[in-house]
Amino acid sequence: MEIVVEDDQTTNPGAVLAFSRLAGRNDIAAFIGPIRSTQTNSIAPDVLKAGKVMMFGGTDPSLTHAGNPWLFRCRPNDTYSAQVIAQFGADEMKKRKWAVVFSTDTFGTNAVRSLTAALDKRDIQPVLAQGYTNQQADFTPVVLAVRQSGADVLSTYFTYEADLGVFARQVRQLGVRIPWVGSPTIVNTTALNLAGPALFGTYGITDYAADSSPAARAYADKYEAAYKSQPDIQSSWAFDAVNLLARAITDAGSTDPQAMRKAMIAIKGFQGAEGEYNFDENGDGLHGYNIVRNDAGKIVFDRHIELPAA
Amino acid sequence: MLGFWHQILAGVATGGIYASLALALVMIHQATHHINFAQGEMATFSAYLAYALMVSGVPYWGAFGITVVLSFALGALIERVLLRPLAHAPDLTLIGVFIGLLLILNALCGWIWDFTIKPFPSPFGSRPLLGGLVSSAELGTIAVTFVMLLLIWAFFRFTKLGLAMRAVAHNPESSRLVGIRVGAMLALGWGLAAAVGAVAGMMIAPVVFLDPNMMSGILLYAFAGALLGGLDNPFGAVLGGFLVGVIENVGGAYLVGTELKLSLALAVIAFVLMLKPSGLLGRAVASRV
Repeated sequence: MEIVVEDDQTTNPGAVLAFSRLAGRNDIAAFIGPIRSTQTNSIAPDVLKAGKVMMFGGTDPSLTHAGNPWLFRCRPNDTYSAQVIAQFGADEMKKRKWAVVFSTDTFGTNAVRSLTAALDKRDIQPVLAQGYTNQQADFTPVVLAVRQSGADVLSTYFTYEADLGVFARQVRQLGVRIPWVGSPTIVNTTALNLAGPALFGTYGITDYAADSSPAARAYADKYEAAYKSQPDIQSSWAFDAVNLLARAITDAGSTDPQAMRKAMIAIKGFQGAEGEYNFDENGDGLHGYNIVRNDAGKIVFDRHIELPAA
Repeated sequence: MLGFWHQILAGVATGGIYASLALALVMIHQATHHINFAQGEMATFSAYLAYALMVSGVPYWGAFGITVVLSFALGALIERVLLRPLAHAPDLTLIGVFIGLLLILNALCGWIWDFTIKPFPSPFGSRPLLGGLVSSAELGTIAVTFVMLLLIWAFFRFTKLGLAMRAVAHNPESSRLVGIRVGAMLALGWGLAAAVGAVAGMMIAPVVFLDPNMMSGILLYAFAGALLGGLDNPFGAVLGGFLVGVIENVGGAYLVGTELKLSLALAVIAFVLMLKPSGLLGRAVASRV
């Protein structure tokens, strides 16, 4: 397999331009798209036009529920993240007063809707649902709102690691000490590096955890040997995407788009770095999350929660 | 009520960040009457230079000094190579050049140092002060901003060089007639603005982390601060920076929510400029037509 790379610059126009360059080549059999939902959303119509399989990492549930048959997600969507966060925070930690801080982009807005719905099923209404715009220099008003809300648990959906780093430092600076359960950005290697001790003791849900399965451990060993650093979700889903595409091409016996699509949907029980892939008819391959804890900078696997396909 | 004062104090701390970059914007405007849209990216580039020096083993203050000198030279070079040939070009052409410079510097930072976000040390540490409302890094930034403000004021007010730069900015033709080297003064203006921007970049990077886009969220606030305070007045720029920080915090907390705090700050600025276009501390300029 040959991989052709185009930089999407983590912007919507950049993603559209990068995808148009790739889609213009007839020798490309399939695509591996962005990890950000916003950018995936911006190129989804072009993927439909191209009519070829695209693996992607954005977790906005609506991306695989909008009738685009070519989108295949290599990460669990936020319906599951919301249910796992709610289950962990409300059912196990017994927390009833929730403060939720979220990015106002596609990812954050849809994620907080899912979390609110999951909490609503437990008769819990967040005491605070506070949005913020990406790339902020200061989160003091948000942190003060959390502090004044009387919440006994904090849940966050951050898109960018730098924002999470600034927020985490200010959370600690302003003395907020309630338990914190975050979306996968909270265990992203860059975020851990930037925030350092400010994230110690936090909980996160993540699709990739090195100790969650033998396949995840094998991937971690290979990655660490190659790059001398810990892997995280930024790379694990893309690693799985390449292997899934290889499997689909082998099963289909060709790179015909329709044949590859059918082969991809038929994949069940595939052991990837992210977990066991069982593609459903929407194109979602994973249906659960790992719970992990930041133990003085080391990410410790707690357990995996698998949920029925939704 | 305690919450309100918390928001004010936190706004002042953030405003210090905006003020430091606003000062660089005003510096270049005062020296050349240009509004440099690439100022944020120039400051980012300087912060990366400091980062590269520190990674190669130069101690913080050594890297700080070398970066300021290198940034001064880079600013003067940009004026000499890029802007002097366009001395008589229309404003729209200059705006295009500034935007081009912004994109080039942004891409250069990513190309040389990659787009991975990096922590950047602060000489003031990051200890929480005043009940956590201000960090030592933020307080240090405010202090450095005031030191720069005093130096700039003294330079323009008490030195012949400062007077010559002001003269060139106001009337280059007459300045040339009385023997001032206009080209050198413009290059000096760009160099000084780049040096001030470098200090701002090194103060801001520890707070928002170092990445090629670190100024994208700050430049707009800095512009707002400079316009609000007065583009021709360094004191106005600093005051404007602090006001924007306070307005966005208090407005975000009590009026419109944090999602719309930028809109609120800009709305207030638009209102002030309608009433006083030269800004709060700026001087109204009358020109014969």
